[in-house]
Amino acid sequence: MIAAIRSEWIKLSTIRVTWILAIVAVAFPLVVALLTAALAEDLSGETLAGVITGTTVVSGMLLGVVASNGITGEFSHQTIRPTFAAMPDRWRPLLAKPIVHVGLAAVLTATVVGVSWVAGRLIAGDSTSEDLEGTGAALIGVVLLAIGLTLLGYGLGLLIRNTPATICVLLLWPLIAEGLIAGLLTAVGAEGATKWLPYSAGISMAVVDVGGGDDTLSRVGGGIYFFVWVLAILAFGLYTAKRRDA
Amino acid sequence: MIEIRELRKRFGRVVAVDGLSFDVHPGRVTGFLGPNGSGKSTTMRCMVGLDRPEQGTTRFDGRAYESMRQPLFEIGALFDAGYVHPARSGRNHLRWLAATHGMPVSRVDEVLALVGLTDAAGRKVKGYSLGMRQRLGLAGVLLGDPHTVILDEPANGLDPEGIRWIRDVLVHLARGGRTVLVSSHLLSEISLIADDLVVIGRGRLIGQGPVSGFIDRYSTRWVRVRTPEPAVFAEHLARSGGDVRPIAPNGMDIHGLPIEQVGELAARVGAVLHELSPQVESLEDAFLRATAADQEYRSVPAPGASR
Repeated sequence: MIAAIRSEWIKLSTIRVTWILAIVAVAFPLVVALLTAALAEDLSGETLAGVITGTTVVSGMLLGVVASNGITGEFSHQTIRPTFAAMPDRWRPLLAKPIVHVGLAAVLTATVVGVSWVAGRLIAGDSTSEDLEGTGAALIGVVLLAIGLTLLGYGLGLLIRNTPATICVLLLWPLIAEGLIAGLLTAVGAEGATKWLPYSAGISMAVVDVGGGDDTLSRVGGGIYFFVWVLAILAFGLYTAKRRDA
Repeated sequence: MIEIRELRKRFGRVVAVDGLSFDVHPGRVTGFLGPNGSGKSTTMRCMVGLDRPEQGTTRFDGRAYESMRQPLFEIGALFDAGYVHPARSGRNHLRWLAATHGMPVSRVDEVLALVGLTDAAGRKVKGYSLGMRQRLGLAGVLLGDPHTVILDEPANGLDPEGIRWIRDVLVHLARGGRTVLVSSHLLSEISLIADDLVVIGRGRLIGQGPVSGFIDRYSTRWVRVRTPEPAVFAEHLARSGGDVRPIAPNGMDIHGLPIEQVGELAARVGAVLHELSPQVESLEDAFLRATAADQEYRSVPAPGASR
């Protein structure tokens, strides 16, 4: 398995677009957080954490795009064939790839969240007020959300196999589809059902003040529900990739 | 040795490979021939588990490909030189392949030198010509120094120097005791390098065995004669039962009589011969005759072409 992981890391690290997206994923939250810390007056820890998690969600989506590219590129350029020919036990490459992508996503988002938080507080200086209880959980939650989006991108890529279509589903689902569905549910008087939309549930992991009540899932509950969706899509993708012709 | 038994693969309603069985022997180059759509590529993909066959087995020295932990050390397969990410350099393409088997980067550089791509190794593959991609694909095949080599159309896109090079490589591999299976549409190339042939049509086996045996079975033999007095000798030949077809200048092709009989007849009637030679159709002719009933796509004869 180590050899498979090393091989997948070479694949991932030798494509320029990976690094372009990774740099954007790191730079965007960092720059926004540092600018906010430098420019805002009386910046609270809660506000800083909100800025960091809000921007890191975008980073998570970019890392999901990297993961979907990683697998759909295998199908579109048919490098999946020499891959499976080199490793006839398909589980090895099929599992090694998400391990590498999740590792990259975890390291990048944890680093950017940590650096943004520490540097933001230092820059904000005395104006940073006491932290709220949910701040740390939200900062950890957004890293988990990025990992989930990475796995989601990979799982969708395994199923759809086409790069533009996979990226469309990955990005339009949270940005447009869930909003439309939520609007529809509200229109028919079923507001309570919107909390069961997968991405909305996942976002609750990264929200500083989750709130509560019947209309939203808790941080842990939402995270578990989101990961159930992600793992179901991933499992179905792995199953089809294992069985189908390469 | 490769043993394929009762291989069957269907895509929807189309049966691509239909109960195919054949053997590929070590120390020999085996040409794998068939018309377009006959199932050659599908067969090769099924052999290494890329396509899932409905039934049948492929054994490499008694072992299934799927059971091999590090197959590149045993089997080198190239199905299409295009199976490369265009934004990755040739060297990095081989690096990830080598890493699956824990091979050092020095081995990558060795095979790059072997195929003559050292200077282009750092360039992105999208800048490679088709011939360079074929060489890169072959470098991948040679990476693990395998005892069995499977190549699908390896001469595609190669220039004459490249074609000669691949020919020499394949013959060298076979003479070194390796098992070599190669498909190609270039029948002239196959006739130069292959010791054995496996010919399929519509997914079924048409013939298997030495090249000479295949040509003997599916081709026509005749005798060519050149004489200063063709009309007179043609009459003698016709009276002896020969089917005489004149060719210019002063020549004729004689079907239906063995060369010994034509020579003896010339001596008996005092005919002067400038040429007396046996003629046999090419592998291409034999192939077209053997697969005539199994051509999936037929073209209209070109103006003036003989069929």
